[in-house]
Amino acid sequence: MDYRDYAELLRKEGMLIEINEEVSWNLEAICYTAMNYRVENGQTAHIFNNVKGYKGKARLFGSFVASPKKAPHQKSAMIFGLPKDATWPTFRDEFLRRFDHPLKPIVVEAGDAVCKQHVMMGKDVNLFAFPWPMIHQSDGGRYGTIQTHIIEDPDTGWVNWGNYRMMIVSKNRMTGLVVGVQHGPSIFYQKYEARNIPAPFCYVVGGDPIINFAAGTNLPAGAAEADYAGGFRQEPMKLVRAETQKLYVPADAEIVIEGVMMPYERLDEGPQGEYTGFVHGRAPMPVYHVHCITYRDNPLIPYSIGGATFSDEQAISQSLTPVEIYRQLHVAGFKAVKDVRFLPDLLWDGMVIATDNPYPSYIQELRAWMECHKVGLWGTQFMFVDGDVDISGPDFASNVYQEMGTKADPKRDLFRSDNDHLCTPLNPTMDEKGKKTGVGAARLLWDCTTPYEWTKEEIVKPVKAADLFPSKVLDKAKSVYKGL
Amino acid sequence: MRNLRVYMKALEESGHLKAVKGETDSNLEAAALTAQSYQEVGPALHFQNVKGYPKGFTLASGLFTGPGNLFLEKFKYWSRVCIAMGLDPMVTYDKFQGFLLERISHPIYPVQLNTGPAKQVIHKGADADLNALPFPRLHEKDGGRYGTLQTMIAQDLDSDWVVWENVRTMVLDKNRLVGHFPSHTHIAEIFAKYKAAKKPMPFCLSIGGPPMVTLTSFLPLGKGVSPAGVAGGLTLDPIELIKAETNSLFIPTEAEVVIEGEVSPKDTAPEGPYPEFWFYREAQPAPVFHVKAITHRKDPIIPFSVDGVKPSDTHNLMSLMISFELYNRLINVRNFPVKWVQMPLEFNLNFVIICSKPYFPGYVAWSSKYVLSQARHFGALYNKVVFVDDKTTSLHLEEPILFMIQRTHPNRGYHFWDQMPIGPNIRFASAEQKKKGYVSGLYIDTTWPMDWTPDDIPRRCNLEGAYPEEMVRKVAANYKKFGFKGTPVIFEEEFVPF
Amino acid sequence: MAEAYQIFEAWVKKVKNQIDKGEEVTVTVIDADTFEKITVRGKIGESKENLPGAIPLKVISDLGEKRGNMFIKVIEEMDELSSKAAET
Repeated sequence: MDYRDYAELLRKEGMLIEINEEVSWNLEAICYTAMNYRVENGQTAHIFNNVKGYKGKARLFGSFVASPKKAPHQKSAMIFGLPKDATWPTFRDEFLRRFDHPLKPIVVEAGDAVCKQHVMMGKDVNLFAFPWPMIHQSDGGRYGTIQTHIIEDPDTGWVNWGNYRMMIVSKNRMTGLVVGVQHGPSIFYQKYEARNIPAPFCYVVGGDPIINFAAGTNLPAGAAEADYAGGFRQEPMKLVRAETQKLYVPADAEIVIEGVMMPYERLDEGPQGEYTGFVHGRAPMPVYHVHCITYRDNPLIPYSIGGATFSDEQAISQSLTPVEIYRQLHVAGFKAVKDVRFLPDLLWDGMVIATDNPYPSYIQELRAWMECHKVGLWGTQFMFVDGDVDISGPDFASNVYQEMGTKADPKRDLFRSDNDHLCTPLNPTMDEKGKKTGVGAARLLWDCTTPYEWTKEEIVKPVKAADLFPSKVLDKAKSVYKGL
Repeated sequence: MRNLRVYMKALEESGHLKAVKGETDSNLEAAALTAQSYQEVGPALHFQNVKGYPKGFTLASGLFTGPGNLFLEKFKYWSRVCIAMGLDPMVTYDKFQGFLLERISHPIYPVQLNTGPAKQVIHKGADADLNALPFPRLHEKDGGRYGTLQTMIAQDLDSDWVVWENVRTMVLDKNRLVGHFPSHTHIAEIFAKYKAAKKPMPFCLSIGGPPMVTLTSFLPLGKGVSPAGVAGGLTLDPIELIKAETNSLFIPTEAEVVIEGEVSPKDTAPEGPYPEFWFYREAQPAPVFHVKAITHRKDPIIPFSVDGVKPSDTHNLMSLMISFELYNRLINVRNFPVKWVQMPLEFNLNFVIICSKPYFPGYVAWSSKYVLSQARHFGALYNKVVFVDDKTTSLHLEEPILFMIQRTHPNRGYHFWDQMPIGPNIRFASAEQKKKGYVSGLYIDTTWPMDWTPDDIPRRCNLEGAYPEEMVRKVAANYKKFGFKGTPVIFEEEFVPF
Repeated sequence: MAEAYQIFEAWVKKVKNQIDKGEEVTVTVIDADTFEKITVRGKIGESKENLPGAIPLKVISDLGEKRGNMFIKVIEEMDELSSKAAET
């Protein structure tokens, strides 16, 4: 499946519209997407066929994965080949099952690779041939957001696929947010820049939308995302060798940008509105020299708006990260964990874990594990709720807010760490010192679980409609309501 | 609005009310259908055909509820109350609170009449039969049939002060109710005096009537304040009153049903079980109400609320009225000119959100602590306060949630309070805390640190922050034309000029 | 050549002395229409008066907020984007 196949799937389900009116890539098209994100149950995928200055040359693809807050995984499930009304547990369990069966990619000939339909080389390279959007009015430049960054560890041959934002600087220069704690950037900093050698890279727009889930996944260092993409798709990714670098890219990509990251070069990157909901400021970042661009006819360029809710990046991260954490928790021995979600009103913050409480120190042990997890980089707070609180159904967010309101004594149940946590420079709570040093964030846990030592008399269970009426009466009510 | 019927007609005309013409059992069925409508963000319901009761004896629900603020729906949780007040149902929340403040500050005192629809049918003594009225059985495990959205009228033993407060009652038998007086209410205090003096407390329960009477019954008024005056101010017309049949209290002439009697200073009976705050409360001894008379219209409509399911009429009214009174006191008692105050149902009324510009250093601490200090007067329902600045929309809970979690440093913005009274809506009080009689509290300062310069403060990059205002409006105007689904929503307060 | 450019406050600050003296500077600017960054040699001033043919140069903060207007008379567009000019 490539993005065009996926768009067809959405169209068949009545979830895609095409817009032929002329709109500008400079904020205007994106503004429609931002408005669309907010409308509950209205996250209509949309393709702008007539982007000003680019008609017939390239298209923008908005809300490709944005979904309703009650089902943030809706379009992600469809990308996985599941029905559009697949429940969260169905999606989660299928993701986990496929995660255990990665498939190594296969290499195809350049002649079979549609991403090679057009080639720009050397002096002809022009990034502005594509309608990179100006996403927020205060951004420092035009951005690629939904894309795959490919870099290889020169010592081990491990190829990392990651998603890191990219700012278009000039016809043949880009710069991006290269944060050392992430795998791709760490390979660049430690294995190339430290040795003063240029790092070959490819920056890919398109291919199989399922790649986003592999590239965004917290794999251990050394695991190849391409294998996991194949596992998710249940067939190997078809890759083709890049023109100018010894790297392999999805053969059905929309656009492939090839080049090298130069050691010790810096350009100012940003500012950009980010997933935190706030603008993250300008800072010097490594430079990408572009040597070659290959692309398909009329490429389809997906994008996401950081900071607007409910965005495409929220849909991806809220579909895959909770599943990863759930898996890692079980592997780490926390088998009492029933489910993991994110609060859909935030992006990577407000992680919710529904768990039983099997022994006295369990909650604090779980807390320690969570507080040292990488996922805390992008958010600050997390919540524990009892294992029988439903965080798997469409009312999961409401159920969590109810627990926060009625099941948390502030002094007893809110746990704050010291200010000794690493955080990314994007954290809006950080002051100057924190931004420079990267330390000074804290974590906060809302423990809404029933204390281990409570007796039966102390425990009060909330009621739902199903507890209040016999099922016969409820069924009749549902059918009478339909007929009103 | 003069009475319940005028209000129900207005709801119907604006698409907020549907008639249920098929036969409905007042034993659970009406409540279950109401619960379904609540959850589907559906209409208020008028059950026109109640099984086993005379034609014309009907039920109505969902009259005062709304969809909460977590998902954008076609209307807001204050919309129906706005319709009852004759306001635009889509007026913003801060304007809505402003209207309430304006009207409540200008009471209009009642007038007395000699006749009224509430007297169309009169049953006294042995003829008065509670079972003749279709009080609904609301949930399977309840201790009996309940009256919910009703206004209890009683007078202080030693003065002229009359209170109108919402009290729920359970039907015991033909001529007895048992009723629950929440501990923080004036009625509880007044009854305690009668009880100490070993005197029965005369009461009237007014059911239906002008919708502003219902609103007033949820409003925590100050001691000695005339609720009839407040209800008149809200209605923009004096409430018409008429004397009760069997005591010297006055009831609204436009009521649907009036139950008169005396609350016994010594007789008690188990009231409940009942899911008052989304969990079952076991049956507890409560005062018995001896019924002396029942008067009603020829075709009485009994409005009811289904508690235990969100969002119910009772709790929506509690949210609106308590947050209003906090807003009122912040502005008029403490001179903190706050923009709005919300008490979201999503947090089970446990959080109070104050929206205000932080006018001076320490303003956040003062206003938040003032709200915490008032908790007991509002039934100790909340122990957590969230302060957001004035660039926060009141239309969507996601913004305060974002600020509370993403924007606030835990060690800088979260402030704990040692002791707060224990409310009836929480489940976190341990046996030890109950013995001690307190839990803890919290206020969350989500504002940017005062020592940050404008250069340090990042822009909110949502629709209103990331795009020029004219562009946002143009896009909203073209939105449907382009083929998008849904209705565009703009958070007006969050525009920041660029 | 663009019709208007943008420039970060911090970049202007770095060459403030030269600007005040009316000297030529080499700076990185952002095309206000295409958002392409280029390095240019030119003269920058607060007003158009002493800069015939100057075009608007919008000054922005590190968070992308507007910080007023200056003007720039571009003498030469440099071929190679100078990462050093932009370095902070």
